[in-house]
This record gives sequence, structure tokens and C-alpha cells, in this order.
Amino acid sequence: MPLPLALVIAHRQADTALAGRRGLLVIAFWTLLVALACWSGAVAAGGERAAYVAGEQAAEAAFADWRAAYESDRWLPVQLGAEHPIVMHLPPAPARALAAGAADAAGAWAQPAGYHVRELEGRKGELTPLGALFGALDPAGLVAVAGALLAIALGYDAVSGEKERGTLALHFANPIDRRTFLAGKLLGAFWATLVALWLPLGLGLLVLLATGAVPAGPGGLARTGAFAAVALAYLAFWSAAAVTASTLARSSAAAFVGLVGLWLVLAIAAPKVAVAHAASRHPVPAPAALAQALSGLREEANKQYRLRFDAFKAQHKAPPAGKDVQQMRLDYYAGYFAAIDRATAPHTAALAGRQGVLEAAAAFSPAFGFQLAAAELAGTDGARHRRFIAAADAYARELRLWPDRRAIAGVKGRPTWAELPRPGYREAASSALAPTFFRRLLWLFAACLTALAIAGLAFARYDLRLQGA
Amino acid sequence: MAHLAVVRMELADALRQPRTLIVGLVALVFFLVAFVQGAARVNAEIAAVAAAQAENRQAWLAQPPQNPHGAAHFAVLLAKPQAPLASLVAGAEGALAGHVFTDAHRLIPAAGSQAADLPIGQAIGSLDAAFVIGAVLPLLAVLAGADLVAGEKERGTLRLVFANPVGRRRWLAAKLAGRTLVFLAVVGLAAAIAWLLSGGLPIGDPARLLAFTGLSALYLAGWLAVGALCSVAAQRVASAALAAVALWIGLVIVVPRVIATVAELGDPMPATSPARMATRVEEVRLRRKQAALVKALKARGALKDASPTTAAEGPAEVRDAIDAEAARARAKADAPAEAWRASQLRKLDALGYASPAALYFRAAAGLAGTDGDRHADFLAQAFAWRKAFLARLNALEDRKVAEFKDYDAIAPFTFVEASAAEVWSRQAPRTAALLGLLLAAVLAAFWRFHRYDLR
Repeated sequence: MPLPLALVIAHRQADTALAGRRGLLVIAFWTLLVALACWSGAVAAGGERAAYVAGEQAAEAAFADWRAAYESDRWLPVQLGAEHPIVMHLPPAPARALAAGAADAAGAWAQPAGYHVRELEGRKGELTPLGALFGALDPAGLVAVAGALLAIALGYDAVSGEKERGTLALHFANPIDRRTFLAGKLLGAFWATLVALWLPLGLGLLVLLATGAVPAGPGGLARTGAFAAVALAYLAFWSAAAVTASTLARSSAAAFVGLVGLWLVLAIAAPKVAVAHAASRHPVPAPAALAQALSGLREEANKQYRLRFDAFKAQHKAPPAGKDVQQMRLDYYAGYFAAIDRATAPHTAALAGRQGVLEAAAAFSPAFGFQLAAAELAGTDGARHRRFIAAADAYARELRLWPDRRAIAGVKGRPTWAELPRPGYREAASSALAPTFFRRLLWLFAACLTALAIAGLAFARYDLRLQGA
Repeated sequence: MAHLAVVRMELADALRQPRTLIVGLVALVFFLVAFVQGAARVNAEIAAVAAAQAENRQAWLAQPPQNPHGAAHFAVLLAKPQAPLASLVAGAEGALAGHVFTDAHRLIPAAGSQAADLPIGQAIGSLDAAFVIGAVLPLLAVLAGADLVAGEKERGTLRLVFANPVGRRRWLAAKLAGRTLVFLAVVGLAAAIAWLLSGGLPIGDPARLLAFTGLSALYLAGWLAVGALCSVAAQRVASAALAAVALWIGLVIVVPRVIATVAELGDPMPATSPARMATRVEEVRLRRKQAALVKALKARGALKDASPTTAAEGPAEVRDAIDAEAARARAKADAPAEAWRASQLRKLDALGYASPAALYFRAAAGLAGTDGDRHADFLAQAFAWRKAFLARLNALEDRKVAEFKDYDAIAPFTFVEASAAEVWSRQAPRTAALLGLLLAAVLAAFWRFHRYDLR
């Protein structure tokens, strides 16, 4: 009857970890942290939503004000491209309260008015650099960093503690083999993590859903559920790592120190190294250099335009007007946009390369994989920002070309808000995240299994007695 | 002289202990990674920005003679140079803009943040020297401190010590001093070796590096004292270490992050885009108004022999009045965000005193020049340069200079760094607070050790 025996051991292990001062302390500390993180996430999500609504309302009003500055017959197509006040707002992330991700650093809106949109504006980190310096407390970051450490605290002495107390050898007076014993210990550690860490987190997530901090609806529910699942897998990895270390180390203290070291490397350093490696492996042109290059190209395009203008003037003995000048401008834009595309191609390629490095790093570092998954589920990931920037860039071009095309088609006067082309940004469906999500989950399971395999191998030849006892 | 013997023994002990080696190795690895990445991050940027600025300057100089206002239409690139210690402290720089272009009529907002190129990286943060010293090494320092007294007790050597004619206070002082010295020396050595191995870092200002080193040593000594306090408060090493680690998680990982949330409590960030839209609409309205004024002047025959630019945009007083009105409109639109920013900075500054790590990160970024203060200095200098640049060219226009060709006479923009002394004085309150924390931890440890059960 190996299974019930394993369950007995699991039960006892969970009991040792949870009952007593340590368990109580961990649960109290963690519950407090979860409450703080959920509250912080809710505050951030609420602020973001309010800013979005205020911005969208202001955009339509500002356009009306701008339009009113012109009499209808004094309005020229070039004015929409050059001076329109329209701002394109990144819609609030579907589940911002779960993970801050890139939200504070990457900005919230774009002004599609220049010729190339490289970045978003309205960065909270720019308004309060100190806030950027201290970082944000969100459920994802909490699980990734503190959750991992507490999972370690619950399981680091699972095996070595019994040895130190002298009770390890006694277990094997019963008809039980080592594998069953280890399985029981692992189950117990998982159970303790589930009860002490995952349940309070789940409760916090339910509160977020119930209060509307994460808008419910099918998308919000699925995203929150998926977040809970990936958090559980991540915590289970650290639980397995803790038991593994406890079967490898000579003493509980050594296991704890080793685990803290592992945590420092995997949960703290690895994500930072991954990010820095992505940046140095795929360098992008410095923003000032790119801006200067585009500025130079524009000078060149302007020169070509002037040459064509003068040629027309010389040929027709009059400057171009009406459709001629409109078509000339469309050609100018087309040429300049093509030049921009050529100049920014290395930048775009480098960004894609960076994403590739991050993907590879996510497979190797459970903490990084978890954080990427959390940001994707929350909708605060870099890829979503990039998609929005690309849409803003395309919209900026559209706003340059559209008025001249409209004039060529014979429509005169100032455009109305309803008539304007709409920005092309569409939120990806939640279901589109599924393949990435399952891949990240799979990698976390693989990390878990690796830890378990090491534990199994280590415990097979574990010395049950305390040396010198 | 018994306490000197304790220091000597502590030093000799430290050299034998594998723990010292582990601290050194961990510090070495982290410093090496931090230095290599810091150098890569900053060197490429320095070269690229210098090249862009040179190219921009070349294009400025290569212009043919033209009327002065035409020259003012050139987009001069005003780039923020890398901060003096950017390679050591990435700070908040990633979210901040990096350059401004001049424009003859409109105020172009600063742009060029690196956050757009690796958004998730800003959330995860960089593994720079400030992170190694601010977060990683304190963990090692508290653990080294946690063993100080409780370790001797567990090994049973504590009672033997006091068989010698040495007072408790002297013994603890000697022990703490010895361990702090060893810890700082090992970490310093690791940093020096990492520096050599990584091939050195670009450092803009050695005086600031010195200040940064002093601040870091003070901070780490504080953490070691906190560990020692845990050690005399606990009976066993394990509980001292657990308490120390818990303190570390709380003060380094949790509190700084809570600070930002607390500061925003009941004071959410206002929407920033309405200000931009209002400013742009106002610019259009003012240009229309300017055109109407010019038309009226022309009708009165006041612009008969004016230069082409004056004929189009009006004389200096019209331009200045319009500019002043635009500046007022901009200030009004930006007021809510500015007020929020000021109140946030005030709150964050005050709340920062809740955690030594927050104090350290803030002070280190201040010394390095990767905080908001230097960024604000840059924006102020860049916009002042732009104003002087336009004023100079427009004055020529007003003096009816038909042709401007002396491009060389306009010196390129150079950012003037604040002096090391000024930067240091800005961080003095935070440094004093860190020193106060160190002293408080030491005093508390002495007080507790006075009645410590040696058995």
C-alpha cells in the first residue's frame, strides 16, 4: 500500500511546514504582501483606465477645437498631417492589476503627427523617475520574487530536517521504500505551498475580479485563471527545488543558504541578465542617432520636392496648384516613407531579435518565463506595446496621405471627426494567447520535473543518519 | 589591548573561513556581470550619440548662405550625454527622454527614451553595480552579521572569550569592526578584480565615483550592523539568519515597491495627453492670430520694406507676444501633471526614508546622474539653448541682415554637469540618514549585548 503511506508522509510534512511559528509567520507575511500587491495593482489599473477615458474624450473635443480654428475654405490638406492634435491612446491592458510589466516605463499614448512613431509618450516613469527607480508592487512581481523565497522557506528542511531531528531513519523502520518517502515529502511540500501561498493569492485574485479591478467578462476571467495556473506551476517549481536541495545538502542550514543562492541567481539575476543580453546581442541605434538619420533623410526628401516643384514651375510658367501639388505631395510622402522604412529596418530587425533572445531565456529561467507569461496575460508585455507603436506609426502615415487623397477625390473643406480614418490598432483576442501560455506552462513543468528527477537521484543514495551522531 | 587581539583574531579567522571566499566569489561574479553589461550599455550609446551630434553639426555647417530666419529652421539636435556614472547606476534613465530638436516655431517635446526598445527590461531592471551593492550584497552582509555573536555562542566559544580580561562592549566593538573591515575589504577586492577583468568602465567624473564608493561602503556597513543586531537579539544562528533574511526581503524588496503605491494613494496620475492636445490646438490658434495681426500691419503699410520672414511672421514684438502667449498656454495645460509630479516627488522623497535600500538607490542614482534631477537640468539647459539660438538669429533678421553665413559662430550645445560637490550636497540628507541607521543598529546591538545570556 505505497500510496496511502506516501499520503501519510505528505500530510505530516505539510503539518510540520504549516503548523508552528514558521508556518504562521509565512502565511501572515504572505497574506499581507498579497493584499498590498492586489491593492497596488488595482490602484494602477484604475488610474490607467481613468486616464484612458479622459484622454479619449479630450481627443474628440480637441479635434473639434482645432477644426474650428479654420474657416472651411481656408483649410488645406497639409494642415491635418502637420498640426492635428489627435492623440492615439493605448487601450487599458485587459488585466493590468495582475502585472505591471512594461506599463509604467513604455508609455500610454502616441501622437501620430511626425513622420515616424518610435516610442509612446505619457510615461509614468518620466513624470516620476523616483517611482521608476523603486519599481512597482504587483501580484506577478510578488510571486516571482517573494513567493519563490517563501516556497523555499516552507520546504528547505523537508528531508534534512528529519535527519537533524534524528527521525529520518525511523521512517524506514516501516515497510516503506525511499521513492514512496520522497514522493510523500514532495507532495507535502506542494500541499504546504498550495495552502500557504497559492490560496491567499487565489483569494486576492478573486477579490480583484469581484471588485472589477480586473474587468471580468470571458477575457478577464480566462486571463486571471491562466495567471493563477502559471503562478501555481512556478511556485511548485520552487517547492520541488527546495525539497531537492534538502536531499542534496548536509544540513538544513546549508540547504537554505544554497536555495537562497539559487533564488538569487534564477529569480533575481537571470531575468536581468536575459534582458541585458537581449540588448547587447541585438543593439539598436541610439534614439538620437535614429532621429538624426531620419532628419537627414527628410532634408534630402525636401530637396527633391523643391527640385520637382521648380521644374514644374519652369515648365508650366506657374507654380503647381490643386491636384498637381496634391499629387506631388503624395509622391513626396511615398518617397520619404520608403526612405524611413529602409533606415528603420535594422531597428525593427533588432527588436525582433531581442524578442527571440527573451523567448530563449524564458525557457531557461523559470522566473523570467513566469514574468513574461504574467505580463502577456495582463496585457502589459512588450509585444503588445510594439503592436500599438506599429499601429500608431501606420496611422501617422495615413493622416498624412488621407487629406490629399480626399482632395484629389474632390472633397473640399475641413474634415469631420466621423470622416477621419480610424487607427488600426486591434486588441488581440485572449484566445490568441493560448499557444504562448501553454508553451510557458510546459517549460515550467519541465523545470519542475528536472528538479524532481534530481531529487530522486540524490535521495536514492542519501545517508539517512546524521554524521557524527 | 585585548580588543586589538580580538580584531586580529577576527581577521585571521575570516581568512580561514570558506564563508569569506564565498562572499568574495559571489561579489566577484555579480560585479563582473554588472560591469561588463554596464560598459556595453554605455559605451555604444556614447559613440552613437557623439556620431549623431557630429553629423548634425556637419549638416548645420554645410548650409549655404540664407536669410537668418531660414537658418533658424534647421533642426539642431540637442542630445543628453551619458550620465557620469551611468555605467554603474542605470537608474531611471531608461524611461527618460534623451534628446530635443530645435524648431523655429513650435516647442518640440523631448524624445528618445530607451524604454520603447525593450519595454519589459524596464520592468525587470538592469543588473548594474547599484543593484549588486543595493540589493545582493546586503543579503550577504546581514548573513555575515547574523553569525557574529550567535555563532560564537553556538560553537561554545563565547563564554571562553570572557574568561579573558575583556569587557563586553570592547569585545563586541572589536568583533564588529573586524568583521565589517573584512567584509568591505573582500567586496572591494572583488569589485577591483571585476573592474580589471571587465576592462574598465567609462567614468565621467572620478570625484563622483569616490562619493559613490563611500556611500556604498556606509550602506553595506549599515546592513552588517543590522545583521549583528539580529545576532544579539536571537539565541541561535538559524533564527538570527532567518530574521536577517526577513528584514532584507522587507526593506530591500518590498518596502521600496510599496512606497510608490503609497505615494499614489488617493493621488492617481492625471491623464497627460489632454495637455498635449490643448497645447497643439493653442499653437494653431495663435498662428492664425499672428497671421491676422501681420495682415493688419500690412494693410497699414507698416511692413513695406521688411525682410521676407518679418513680412510673413511680423516684427519682433508680434513674434515675442505670440511666443509668450504660447508659453503661458503650455504652462497652463501642463499644470496638473506638473503639480502631480511635484507632489509625488515630495512624497517619494519623504517615504524613501522608510527603507535604507530606497535611500541608497535614490542617492546612488543622484550621484550617478541617472535620476530625474539631472534630466530636469538637461531639459532646462536644452530649452534655454534653443531660446538663445532663435533669439540670436531672429535679432539678425530684425537688423535686416539679408544673408546669414557665419554658421561656425554659433557654438554647439554642450550640457554642463552639476559639480560633484553640488550633487553630493543634494544627497547629504540621505547619506546622513544611512549613517544614522548604522549608528542606531550598532547602539541597539550594544544595548542588547549588555544583558545577553552567554550560555
